[in-house]
Amino acid sequence: MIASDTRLTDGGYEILTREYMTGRIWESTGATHEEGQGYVLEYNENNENGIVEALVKDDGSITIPEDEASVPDINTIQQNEDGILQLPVTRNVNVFTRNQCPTFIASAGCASDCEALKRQIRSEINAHKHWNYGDATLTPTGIATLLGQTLYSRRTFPFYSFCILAGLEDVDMERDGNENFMGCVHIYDAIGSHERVAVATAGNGREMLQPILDRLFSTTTTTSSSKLRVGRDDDDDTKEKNYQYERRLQRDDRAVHASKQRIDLSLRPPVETYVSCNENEALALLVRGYRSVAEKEISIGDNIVVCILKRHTHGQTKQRLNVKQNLGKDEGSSSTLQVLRFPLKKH
Amino acid sequence: KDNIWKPRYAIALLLTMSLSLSSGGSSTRASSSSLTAATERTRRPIVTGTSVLGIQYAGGVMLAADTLCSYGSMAKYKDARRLISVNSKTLIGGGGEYSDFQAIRDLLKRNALEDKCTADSLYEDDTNASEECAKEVWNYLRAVMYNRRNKMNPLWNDLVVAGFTGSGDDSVPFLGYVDKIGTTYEDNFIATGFGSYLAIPILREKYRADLEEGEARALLEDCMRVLFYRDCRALNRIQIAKVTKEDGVLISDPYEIETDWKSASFVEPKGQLDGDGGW
Repeated sequence: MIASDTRLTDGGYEILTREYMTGRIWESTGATHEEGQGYVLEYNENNENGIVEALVKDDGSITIPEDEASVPDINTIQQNEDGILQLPVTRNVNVFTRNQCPTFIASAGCASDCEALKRQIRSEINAHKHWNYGDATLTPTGIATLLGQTLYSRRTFPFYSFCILAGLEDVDMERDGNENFMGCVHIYDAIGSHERVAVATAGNGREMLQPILDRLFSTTTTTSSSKLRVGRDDDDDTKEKNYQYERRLQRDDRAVHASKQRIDLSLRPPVETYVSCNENEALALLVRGYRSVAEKEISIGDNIVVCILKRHTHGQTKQRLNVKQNLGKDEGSSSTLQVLRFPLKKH
Repeated sequence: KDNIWKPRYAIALLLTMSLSLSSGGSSTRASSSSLTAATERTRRPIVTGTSVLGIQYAGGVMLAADTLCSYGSMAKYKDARRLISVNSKTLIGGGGEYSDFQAIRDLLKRNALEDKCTADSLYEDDTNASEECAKEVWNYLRAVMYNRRNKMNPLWNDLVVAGFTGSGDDSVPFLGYVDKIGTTYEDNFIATGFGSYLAIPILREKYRADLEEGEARALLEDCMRVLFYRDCRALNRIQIAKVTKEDGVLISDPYEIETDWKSASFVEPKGQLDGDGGW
């Protein structure tokens, strides 16, 4: 899930436009959705002939939806009769099949540098696809490295662009050849140092928002209690009294124990790279965090645009989304993209 | 062109003036040679134009700008043309340094001429297909401005690009902004310079997607009037230009807009002092 606000400011008091997305969230691989395949969610009566609009424009940027979505209520899990979680209303869902799984990059900072960086990255990936027989080799980790290298190449005159990369990585944890896609988020600074994290924020208000999101997305700490021995054990009469104190150990459930970090010859990060809540909770918390930081940060406002990228294994796409009509064949695995817009303060 | 010079003309080679806008001064390698002229870079604009306003209406796009170029605080050139047509689909308005705007105009006209000469047909009806559409000009200008800014020698302008994008019957109106560091965005209405502070609130209030041409023009004139009241470097002599699918680009002759200085806040200052004691 990757989100951005749509306000473009000059760094001072001026708002240049309230609907800026061209350099904000962009798709890096040039993946195109399947024209014939698309899903129209059933609560949208406007789209009866089922034409699915492209959510990703030609230049890679995201179209801002006209309809406002509503934040899902995390206290009531909305399910339909098949037990499928209800998603917020969107106009359409784009489906990406075959090897085309989009990887999104969001850039904050100087808009002209973000736009120039976007063009450079997309051009390089396009050339890579051309010279390397297609896009089967484009993984988020590969694009993450490319972005880091590109940013560092301007070490002496940096792109003033603080990026977040978000994609779906096939980790194949059971090593059985079946695909197992996990979300992959990398956070960058302006000169290319990057790290894979579970929750990332970039741009204005980052110092305010990152700790809030860290806290919102960490679940309650687990506890284990053990009795502490306070006295000598040899005296049977006092044996009960010796074991008096219970100690609760608080463990961060996002921490990865050192013994579990090693996979073959490589190391996982010491903190989990995904959050443990479901999609509706994640969306609600994300919007809540954004609205918090918008209260204090003048350069954040107008709209939040959230892109939700999901992977569905074979045959599950139609079931998972509460769809009215499947406009094409559903073969194999696919990735789907939904874009939601939530209103934000205008002042 | 420079490749034909033989080695013994190497000195003349280095002193040859570059005809390209994007060179923007010598590169750092050349400047270390004692044979090249000293490089200079734009530090501040000298002769400047103020705001340009743009709005999309039903049927086209309209721009407005006044005809003043200021020399600091002096209203030096009162008939400067800050709205230019590039081809039949594109209109550019520019504020900021006027000489840089003229250089951009020459560059775009050069490109349009080259497009026309290398098109499949020289006849106007057919060459319209080979013309760059407004969005292409906007993207091209972004590259030019960003490139010059990376050389720390910007073209000191805020540009508004208006016109139609796409071809033939599928073309849609387009209005975009490019500034001196290469920031770009497109929107339904745009104002540069002082207009972004004074005119944008009015445009945000009054804009509708189905504005008629007359309404759009009246709205822009009202904004230009407010700018003349409150922007010290503005003039009440303005030009309006529009781009439509049928008629292409039309730029009006300059005309004066009426102003009324009898309103209470001009006559009786709000502050206690005899004169401007407050706002």
